[in-house]
Amino acid sequence: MPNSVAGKILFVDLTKRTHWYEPVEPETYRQVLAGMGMAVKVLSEHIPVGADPLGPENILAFVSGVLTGLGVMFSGRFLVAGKSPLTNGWGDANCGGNFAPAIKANGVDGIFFLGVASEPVYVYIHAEKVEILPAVDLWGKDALETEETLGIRHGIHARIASIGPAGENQVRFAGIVNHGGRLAARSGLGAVMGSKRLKALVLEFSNGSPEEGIEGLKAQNRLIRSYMPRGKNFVPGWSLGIAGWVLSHMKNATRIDGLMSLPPFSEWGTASGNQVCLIGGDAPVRNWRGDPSMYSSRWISVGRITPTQKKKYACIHCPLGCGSRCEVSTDGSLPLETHRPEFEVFTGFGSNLLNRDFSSFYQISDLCNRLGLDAISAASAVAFAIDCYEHGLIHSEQTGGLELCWGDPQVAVILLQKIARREGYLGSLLAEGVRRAAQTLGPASQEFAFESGGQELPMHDPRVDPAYGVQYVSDPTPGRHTISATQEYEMFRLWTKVSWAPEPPKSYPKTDKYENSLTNAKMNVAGSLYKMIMDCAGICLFGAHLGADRLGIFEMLNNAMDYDLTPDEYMEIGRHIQSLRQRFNLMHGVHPADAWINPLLVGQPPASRGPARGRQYDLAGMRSLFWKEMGWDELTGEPPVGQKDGESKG
Amino acid sequence: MIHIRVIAPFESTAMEGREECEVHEGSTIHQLIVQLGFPLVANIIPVTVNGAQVDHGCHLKEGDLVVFLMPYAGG
Repeated sequence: MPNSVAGKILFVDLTKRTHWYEPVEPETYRQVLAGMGMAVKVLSEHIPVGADPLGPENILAFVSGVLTGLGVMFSGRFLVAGKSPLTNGWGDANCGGNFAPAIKANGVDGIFFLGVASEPVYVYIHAEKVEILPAVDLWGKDALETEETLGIRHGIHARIASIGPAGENQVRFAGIVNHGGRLAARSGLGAVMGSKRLKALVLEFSNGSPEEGIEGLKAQNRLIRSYMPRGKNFVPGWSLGIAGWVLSHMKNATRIDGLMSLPPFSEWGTASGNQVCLIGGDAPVRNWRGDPSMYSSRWISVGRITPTQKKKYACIHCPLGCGSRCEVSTDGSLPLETHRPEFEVFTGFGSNLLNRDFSSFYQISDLCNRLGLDAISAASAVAFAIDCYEHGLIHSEQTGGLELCWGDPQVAVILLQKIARREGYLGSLLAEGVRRAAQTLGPASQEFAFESGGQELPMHDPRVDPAYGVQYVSDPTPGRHTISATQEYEMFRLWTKVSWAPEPPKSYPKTDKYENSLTNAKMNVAGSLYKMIMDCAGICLFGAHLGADRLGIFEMLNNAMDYDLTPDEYMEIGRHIQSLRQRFNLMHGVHPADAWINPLLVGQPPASRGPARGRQYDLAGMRSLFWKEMGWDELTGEPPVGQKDGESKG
Repeated sequence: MIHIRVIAPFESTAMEGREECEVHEGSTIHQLIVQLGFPLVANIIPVTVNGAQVDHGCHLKEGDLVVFLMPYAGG
């Protein structure tokens, strides 16, 4: 067994207050690697059919990738997995911060929580001890207060993942928080943690970089560092707005290389895309039913962000550092010090709500971090509520007198507080997620619901890039933007490593993206399989923007695992893992073909204004071809029974 | 002549889809843009050489990696 993996996993039964270790055989690593692969294999075998996502039979997993903990650049990601209370199927959420390497540092590749504690607890793992400790004093605290309290209690080597009030109250889109506000946000796994009355997981961790012991990893780290931006950034903020305008007005699309976006990404993180995405029609406006002319990109420009940035922030083992600690005055009182909001907050709570109040984005982002709410789903829920209120589907007596209107940030702030505590009719309604809320309010509200399979949609409009649409309705975690899309695929540069991955031309007509072509399907499949390898390795998606040839993920995995696999063979492992995720859904009665998006986002009816004007595409056909290229049934999305890819207990 | 690598959001018949190209030793970025037939707008697009941002009067040397910047529309 190579030193890069632990060779065992830990189970903690919160009902019986016991724990045990199980060995992981070398053949298992060869089949599924670690991280995502380990999670889906173990959970497929242990979560019984019909398990309530918020009941004792669900299992919550914290897993670490093969390369995590080895000092490899961009390897500071951990993955949380379980049965999702939003989709009732496979759920996972990937997160940076400082927590990831602490899992393997405690001698395991994953920690799996079973059962339900009789009272609030937290689990502290240190020096080969597993302690289940009372958390009654922590219950009710927000996630940042919890982290601070536990940090003082257990010292500077404690790495802490916790839930806020949203997780405690089993809000279906609650996330899990670490390092002062980095969230494993999607799939509602914070609610699963809350349902187990598990307030926090605390791991002892002493920093180290054992990469020097593994031949090849140190050299690859040097190579990766050589691509990182150096010196002072002087990309003018205004140039991003112009770039957005130029890109949206060009007939042809230009193939992007990840190196082109590194300096702005290093300076402003995901927010570097605010203006480009808004002007280009990618970001939603007024609950997706508006257009860019209704919201100026200046209101969320990097020019306004720059003065708030006080200190660069990087996740552990990240040479890029796309985060920032910021300071902003909100209401004239003490300045708020917080993480810089992500693109999803600026657009989800900005353009999508027609909110121009710049400081409110920091306040709302901080609030989501503290409450432990997935900002994407939360923004969707707020926009849905405003639309329903405006159209008479929610009445003032149901809002407690709160007038739900566009452009008022306090509406979002108040609703987030209500949602996290399931307060009143509206708080309880929206805490169930947009899909369930729409089912409660009736068919007329469907028009305002933007979700897929129960998961609220991220802020990327598939009318501008249909590859997003395909992933929204095809991936086993529907409504996910971090699998693959056109630009993402271009940056992955898989054609340099994988024999069958198509190489996009350097320039091509934008209309190519709308074609139900074999090339588009192959690119979507390749991106999807590669993402599984990233999640098995513990590598950040933004690190993968360097390109497969420059990042060297396949070579690093071979070095770390003493394997001699080709990139094509790794992609087959990715296919196997995607099939296991899909099989999990089928096993739990979730039919892949049922995932769909609001017809508006397929261009039905076509948009009359903006960059998406007149755009339509054959999403059903594109999904069929995607599934076919995946090796699955093109109508049902079911992996064939009996083939290696479909193996799991069902 | 020196050999450099250029990554840019433009097509160039001189590069024929490759990243590598030959330019006169000491060429500036402005001269590189002309030599490769890039559009004039390239003269105002921020550029890095070996990861460090430079102005377009920067002189190139053997083995340099020149990247014209373009924001990623995602996140």
